Amino acid sequence: MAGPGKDYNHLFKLLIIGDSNVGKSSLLLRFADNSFSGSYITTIGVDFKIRTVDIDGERVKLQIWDTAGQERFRTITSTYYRNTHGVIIVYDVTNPESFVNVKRWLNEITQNCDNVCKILVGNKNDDPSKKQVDSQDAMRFGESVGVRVFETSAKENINVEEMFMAFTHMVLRTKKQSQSRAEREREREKETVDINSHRHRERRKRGKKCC
Amino acid sequence: MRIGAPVRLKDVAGEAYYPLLEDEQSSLSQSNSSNELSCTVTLPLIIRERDTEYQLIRIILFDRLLKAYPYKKNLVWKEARVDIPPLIRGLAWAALLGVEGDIQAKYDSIDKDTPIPTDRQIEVDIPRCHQYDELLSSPQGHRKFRRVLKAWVVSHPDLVYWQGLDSLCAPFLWLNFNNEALAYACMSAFIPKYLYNFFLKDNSHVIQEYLTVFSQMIAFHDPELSNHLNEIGFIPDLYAIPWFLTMFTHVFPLHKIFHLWDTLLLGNSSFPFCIGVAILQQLRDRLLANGFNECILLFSDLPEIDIERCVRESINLFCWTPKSATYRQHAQPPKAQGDSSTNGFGKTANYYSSDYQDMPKTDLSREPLALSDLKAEVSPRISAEDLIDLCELSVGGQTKRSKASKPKILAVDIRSIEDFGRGHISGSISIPYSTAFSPDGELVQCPATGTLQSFRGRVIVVISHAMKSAAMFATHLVKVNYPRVTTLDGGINKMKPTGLLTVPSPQI
Repeated sequence: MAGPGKDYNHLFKLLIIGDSNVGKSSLLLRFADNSFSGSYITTIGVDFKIRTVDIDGERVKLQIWDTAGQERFRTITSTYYRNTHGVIIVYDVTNPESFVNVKRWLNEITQNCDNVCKILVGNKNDDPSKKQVDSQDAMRFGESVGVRVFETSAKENINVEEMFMAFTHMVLRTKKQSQSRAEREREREKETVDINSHRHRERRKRGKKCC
Repeated sequence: MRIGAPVRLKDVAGEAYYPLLEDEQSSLSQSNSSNELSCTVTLPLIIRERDTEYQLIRIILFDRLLKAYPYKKNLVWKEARVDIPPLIRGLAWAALLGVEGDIQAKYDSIDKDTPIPTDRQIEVDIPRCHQYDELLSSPQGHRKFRRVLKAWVVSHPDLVYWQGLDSLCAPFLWLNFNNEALAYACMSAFIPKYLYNFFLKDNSHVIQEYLTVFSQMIAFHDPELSNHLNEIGFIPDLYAIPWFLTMFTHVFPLHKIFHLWDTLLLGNSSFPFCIGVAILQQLRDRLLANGFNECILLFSDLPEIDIERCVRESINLFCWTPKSATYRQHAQPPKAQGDSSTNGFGKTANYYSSDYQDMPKTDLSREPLALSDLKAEVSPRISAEDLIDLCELSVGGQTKRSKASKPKILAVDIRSIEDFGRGHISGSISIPYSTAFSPDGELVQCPATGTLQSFRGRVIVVISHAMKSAAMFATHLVKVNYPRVTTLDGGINKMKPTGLLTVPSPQI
């Protein structure tokens, strides 16, 4: 699968979104550099990290886009959704408001992507006394919108690696599924001459936007 | 100045404390050790800032000028071009920003206590803003931060708080830590000048236009880098928003911001584009050698930038940029007739003194352009008045003006030979578009393209009937790495009513 000169088999673009101060940059830094600092600077616009992981013997390069959290930046960040394979929505388990806003972030994804893998991450899950978003509530909500939920702590390095790896698995699976689907379709097309072939092609072209 | 100073400064003559402000000569000649001091002025800024006697003289001078502000405004500008003493920077900046009036009363009258919806965001941002600094990370610092930011938000109902405003506030707060009113006043004066409408609730049209002009500036100054960055898709939207939205205060530590802004405040609202290009150029080799993934990583952890070099190169880039090339329709509209005659860089002051949009608009000025059209053009347009000025054309024939301070220019007329023969701009060369480029995009060798090559480095103005062909011609030139390519806004038709077109006399 690896093309000539490439150091990976798959390249995926992942996007991290969510309210400001929920720990998006911290999650990313923990995953990419395995470090944590209590004092980060705010992300304005977008920031990037890259990490290559091994999934079932395949090299998967993750290009992770970390976006500004303030709601206003949505007009600017909407252009960053193009050609994204997966979106990580982060909230802060100690801040119910950030959980309530997850719906708006999901909306944002629907508006900017046709079909994309999603995962919901409750960060700062390291102090039970401060926890305000119940795990059960989060799971139930995740089920209702069809999104898997992870609870993490970038600070204590809990579940971060697991979350990113599970998500990468998901994205890879989706890619392979759509590849084999496309292959099947191609074969079917060869067999039958479809009078609507033009329309089909159009639809496929449109469907390719995101995933 | 007195404590500890007597030993160190015991040899400073008494007169040094009373410089004559009206003396035409440089202020530095006031000192009895003038030779030494005029030598100091040529040393690097970092060294000057550590030279106690030099600083003494500078502080005394600035102190006197600032006490006489606004009457001594011109002299403040003049001396600020030399350097600004760190100890007096807060007040010097306020003067450069034109802060006037009873700022304390204004600040006191603003309600900074009633809770507002923005409070949460401000609370979240302050503990993440320049916290390596002792003042800004102190509880008192946080309190002051909050008050100044809230005061700004409350007193600008048409604008809103965007993340980044905290960074923008930081240098003003740090410099005026014991004078919140002045920090507030400076910030309030800075924003309309350099970040007009950037803090609108919906600012996308402003930012999009700004970033597009910035792309054109990269192509103008460094075509090779521009070609590479466009090829790999590393567009300004991905890295330059924090640069411009915060005027670099989000990307540099305070000590670098001070030196950068000492010069920024002397320039007009287009100067930041040049800073942006200068930063890219410092990283040029690494950018050119790498693809998209490496480039985004490079900028996510911006390497050390030599700020003095950045400032020097920004000024040089600025002097090479025709004023109208950075025209933006969403820039600040013309101010009421004020005195903007004092700013600008040294000898280029005449041409660069004011903002482009502050000059009276005429038929020869640049016209607004839809964003999609602006984005489609690789090279900037310049106005007919800029062309006339830079080519030193005038209705009454050639005027002899000093050419030294202006960029050198070459007008390239890409219309057919017949059209060129019917009338063209004096001094322009004819390279008909239809025969200029080979199928592989290289310039075809001929005497005219030879001329073009020999004048490589000058500002090239592509002139045509239709803007589309001019823009395409310019794009071709950029592709083959020609720097400083522009097109004439409105094309040759703009020039026709001026009576400046000449018909060549028969072969001599």
